Amino acid sequence: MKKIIIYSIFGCLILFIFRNWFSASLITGSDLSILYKSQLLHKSVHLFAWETAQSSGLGGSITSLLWLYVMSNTPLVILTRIFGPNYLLIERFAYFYPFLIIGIVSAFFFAKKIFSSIALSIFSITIYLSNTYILMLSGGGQVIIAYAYAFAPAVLYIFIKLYETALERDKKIQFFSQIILAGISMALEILFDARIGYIMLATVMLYSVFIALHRLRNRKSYSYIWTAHWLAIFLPIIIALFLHSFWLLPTILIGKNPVSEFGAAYSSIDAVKFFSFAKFENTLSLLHPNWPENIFGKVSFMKAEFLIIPILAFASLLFIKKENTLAKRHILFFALIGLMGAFLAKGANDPFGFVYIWLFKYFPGFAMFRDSTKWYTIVALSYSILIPYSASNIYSWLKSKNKYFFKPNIINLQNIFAIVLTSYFLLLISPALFGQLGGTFRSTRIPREYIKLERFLSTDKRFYRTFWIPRIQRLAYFSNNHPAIPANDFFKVNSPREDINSLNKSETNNLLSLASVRYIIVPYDSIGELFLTDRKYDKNVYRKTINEINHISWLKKIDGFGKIGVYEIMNPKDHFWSPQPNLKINYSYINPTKYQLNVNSSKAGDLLVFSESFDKNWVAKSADGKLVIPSVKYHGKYNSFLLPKDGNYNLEAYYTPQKWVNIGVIISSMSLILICGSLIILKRQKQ
Amino acid sequence: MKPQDILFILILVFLIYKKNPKYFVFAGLFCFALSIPFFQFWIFFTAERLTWYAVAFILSAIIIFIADNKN
Repeated sequence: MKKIIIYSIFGCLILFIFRNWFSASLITGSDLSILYKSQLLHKSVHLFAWETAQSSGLGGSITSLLWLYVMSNTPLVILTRIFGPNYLLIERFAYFYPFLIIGIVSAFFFAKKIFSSIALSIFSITIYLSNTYILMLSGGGQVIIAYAYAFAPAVLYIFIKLYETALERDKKIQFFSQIILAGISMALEILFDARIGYIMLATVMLYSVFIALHRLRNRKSYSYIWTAHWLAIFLPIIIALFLHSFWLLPTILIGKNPVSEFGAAYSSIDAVKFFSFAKFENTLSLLHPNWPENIFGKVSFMKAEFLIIPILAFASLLFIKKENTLAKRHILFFALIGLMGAFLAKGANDPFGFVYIWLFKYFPGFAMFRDSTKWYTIVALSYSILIPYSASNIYSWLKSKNKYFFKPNIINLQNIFAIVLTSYFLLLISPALFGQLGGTFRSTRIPREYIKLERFLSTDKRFYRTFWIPRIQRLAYFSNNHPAIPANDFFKVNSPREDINSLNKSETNNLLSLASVRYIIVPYDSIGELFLTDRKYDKNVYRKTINEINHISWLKKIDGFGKIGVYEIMNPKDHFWSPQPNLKINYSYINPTKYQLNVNSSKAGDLLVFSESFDKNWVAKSADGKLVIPSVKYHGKYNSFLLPKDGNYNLEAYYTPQKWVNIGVIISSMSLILICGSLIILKRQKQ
Repeated sequence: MKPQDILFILILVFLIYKKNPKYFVFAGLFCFALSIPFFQFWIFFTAERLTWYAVAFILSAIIIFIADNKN
């Protein structure tokens, strides 16, 4: 009966916090755009090394991000087959419900490993799934990262089990089964989010060292302990690496630093400093710096009431003397990673901010953490263990003190403490309870204008790009045939005012034409996140933008889209075109890495321009493979192929790293089959 | 160096001399608790320092616990 009451209260609380996800309305977040029927039907599980939406809509290599495409596309393709192109259902079953299910199951097993009590385990899940960090993350629509966050406790649980069996000499089969499971869990975590995967790898390695050092001090079989721990760390990593060959192999073979490929906004020290929003007091208090508005860059003053959280968490250290060594080690480990996570999550802020900058510059893999808040994951993991542990010990301690005070059954010290503690946690997340959070916690409606624009664009078979001022609205339509360019990124500016200034320059018409832009779009800011003054929607900024664009002579306004301003540019360049008018070009799109071309009436030295971002790995090759024309830079930005002789050509424009992706996919698939086969064989041998 | 830094160092030296990890934990928790009213009244410099001191005390406690953590 007690268990049922605990489960019911927990279930009601989670349902209440995430109630909007169970409504029948559309959900979007700043990082979760909607997908129209036409977009859903074109989703594919095939992995391509090139993505037209990359590099601000001008196309770019995505080999280092292919793990992300597996996770974002596969559920959409499967669910579109099941439900049809019904995005309302698909987004729930692809993103939101799996997050909740994975989060609850994974955090429950993890907590049960540490505590035997159901009540403490439930308390632990509640902390893990309803703290300000995960509420801001899921509210902002970062659903794939939220997946990774939800799965993180399962990874740690599997590795803890692995290290337990590592020293049992008579359980070798079980040990190797655990290694395979650990490898698969790590591979899955990296698939959800490579950065959280990296964080969990660091955590399990630290745990292994922590446990190994303790064991070494208390036993004599040094070599056996070291061997077992090395195997328990490195074999799962090797398994995970093999399973991720599909993106690791092409990324390594391309030989460029994937982070620096994204530009200074991702790889510079200034970017790290700018993105270090959280201060040490925020991270220690598990308080997301943007709580509760979740407006990018708007950091509120420290909310003092959250500082009771670290007090509760680290009070756990007062109770560990009475514990057996394993429980004591666990508490010490979680206290340590709590501090470590809080220190790293604050990024370049004081104290010792230079440590983070040094790690970002020199430590392998750390360059992924421009945004340091990902490290909140291990703070949450740590506190989800420490706080229930402290709470249960304080509860027991108060119970023991009752004999000195008063001893009624219901109104007693320990129950008052439980009520105060529960009320405190509810108070901390009260914006979530009272429906004050935005993003995915609020319903969205698609204005008719956007539906009309989607129909207009999706039925047009010509290739062109759309150009969004100041940037792409989350209800916007785009596709491989009509990639969208955010004006702020294209002009490298930060406001609609600066976009207009850039549009008014004499060379802009030509620049946009070269980028194959046919329509300039000023979105209807129905969600109020594009036209801002002091981070608040300002309709005057929108009106002024529309008014000024109306006066640009080389733009023709297209009517019929309500509050969305659509302007046409005359004669934009095609996807493939030539500066030489004699050249006749026919092309067909096969996939983002391959195009078939017929080029007629060419003369030696003619140029074939391909309006995607320049990448030296693009080639134009003849059907028999004898002629391979490398790409040369055109206008400082695009690909072009110099035709060597007079005549007609049948060419294939091909992005060569695709062949490494294909080989990587084969290695990953074979590894998966081999690993699953080994697991089955080991399970049978164990029986 | 501010007066609160000097006080922190003196307490830290005293606690290191005492070598009892529980004292470090109490000092850390006290610093966290003391920072609450400072944050509430927007005295951010001292409040922030107090959270840093708290971390230093807690970290010292963990190190001593680990060093003592023998069967």
